[in-house]
Amino acid sequence: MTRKLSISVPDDVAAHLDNVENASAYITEAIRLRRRSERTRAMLARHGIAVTDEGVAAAGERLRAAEQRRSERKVAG
Amino acid sequence: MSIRVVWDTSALLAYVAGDTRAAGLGELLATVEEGGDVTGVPAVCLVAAYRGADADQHAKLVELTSDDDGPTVILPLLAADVAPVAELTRTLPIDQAQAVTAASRHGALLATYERPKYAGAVDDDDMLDL
Repeated sequence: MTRKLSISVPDDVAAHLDNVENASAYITEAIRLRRRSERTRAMLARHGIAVTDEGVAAAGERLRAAEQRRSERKVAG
Repeated sequence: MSIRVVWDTSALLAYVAGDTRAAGLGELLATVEEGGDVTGVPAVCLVAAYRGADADQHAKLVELTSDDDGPTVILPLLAADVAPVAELTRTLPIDQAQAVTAASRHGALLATYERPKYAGAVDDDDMLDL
C-alpha cells in the first residue's frame, strides 16, 4: 500500500533528488534508516547506555580504519 | 545490508554490564546500523553470555537480539560450519570458535575484548579491539 504525498523540501535537497533515479524509493529508504536509528538509540537509552553523535562518528572512523588496514593487508597478500 | 561486525561473548557481556565499556559498544552498534548494516551475534556466544549474565542482563540480551528489524542479527551455527567450528575447539571454547567462523563467513571484523585468546586462530587485522 502506498500513498501519494506532496511535500516541500529545501532547494539543496530538491537538487539532490533531481539526480536520483527513484526519489520515492530514495526518501523511503532514508526515512526507514532514520526510524531504525531512532529505535536503536531508544533501546540503548533503556539499557542505560548514553551515546552521542560525536561518539558514534568516532566509532565509525575507528571501524573504517580497521577495515582499511585489513583491506590493505589482503591486497598486499 | 551486510554483517559488518561480529560480537563475541566478551562484547555481549560488556554491553549488558552497563559500565563504561557499554557506551563504546552502543556507539559501535549505532554506527554500523546508521551505515545500513547490522552487527552479527553468533548463537553460541549469545548462549554463553546468557549463562554468564543475571536476570536484568538477560532482558537486555533478549531485547538486543530479538527485533527482526533491529541492529543485530543472530547467526546460527550452520551445518556447513560444524566441522570448522569443531576443529577450532581444539584451541578455543566453542563460543569463540563460532565467533571466528561466523566472522570469516561474513567477511566481518570480530569485535572482542579478548584478542590474545584468538592468537593463531584469527589474523590480527580481522579483529577489532574493544
